[in-house]
Amino acid sequence: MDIRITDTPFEPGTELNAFSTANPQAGAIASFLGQVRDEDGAVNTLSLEIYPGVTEKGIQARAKQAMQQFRLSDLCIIHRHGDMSVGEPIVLVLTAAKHRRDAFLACDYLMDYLKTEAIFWKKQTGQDGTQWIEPRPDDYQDAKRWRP
Amino acid sequence: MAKFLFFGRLADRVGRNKVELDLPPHIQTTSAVIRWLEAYLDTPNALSDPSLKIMINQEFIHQNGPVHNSDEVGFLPPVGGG
Repeated sequence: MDIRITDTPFEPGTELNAFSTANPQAGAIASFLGQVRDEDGAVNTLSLEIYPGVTEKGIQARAKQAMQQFRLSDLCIIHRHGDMSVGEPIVLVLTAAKHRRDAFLACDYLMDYLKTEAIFWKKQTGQDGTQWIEPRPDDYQDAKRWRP
Repeated sequence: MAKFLFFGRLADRVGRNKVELDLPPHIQTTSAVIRWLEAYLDTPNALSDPSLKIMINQEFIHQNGPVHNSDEVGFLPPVGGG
């Protein structure tokens, strides 16, 4: 399991290649890449703030739980913080499992956690100035799907 | 010295993301810290907003409890998602 919360840009293709090479036994690898949307030209910069130590600890705990729940053989989460420009990768989730369903589900589950519960504060700067962004109602609805 | 951290939109409201202060001897609980710090920062009600979560030494607390002069106290507004 590899969890990286970083202010350094990353290259998703390189990460996916390294992950699949490191997991030759996995029959299925699913990936999700989130990147900065331009919102029809309204966004110049997206800035994510973390609580150092706390954000990482929360993601580590949820990742460990997802590894068991979805019988993953490996998992990689890379999440940026700091300032990002339009088109830049924000988050990459890679899941390795024996079969595809668990790999897809784990990816979906972890993204719902990252979008609604993980400790990030998000600020968008663009032509209308600077605004703090909170999850959309749909994000909370998505996250509810995983409750027993 | 106690360290107080403010995140997200709260940092904008209080005008800083961190302040380190010696706790006066009579300030010993989270509710007392909130009142004292709001007065110090001159930001009435900014820290008593019920949507804020509080962490002491990076652990969430859910009710009024002790605060010590060496503690790190984080005030967390609702998260924005990654």
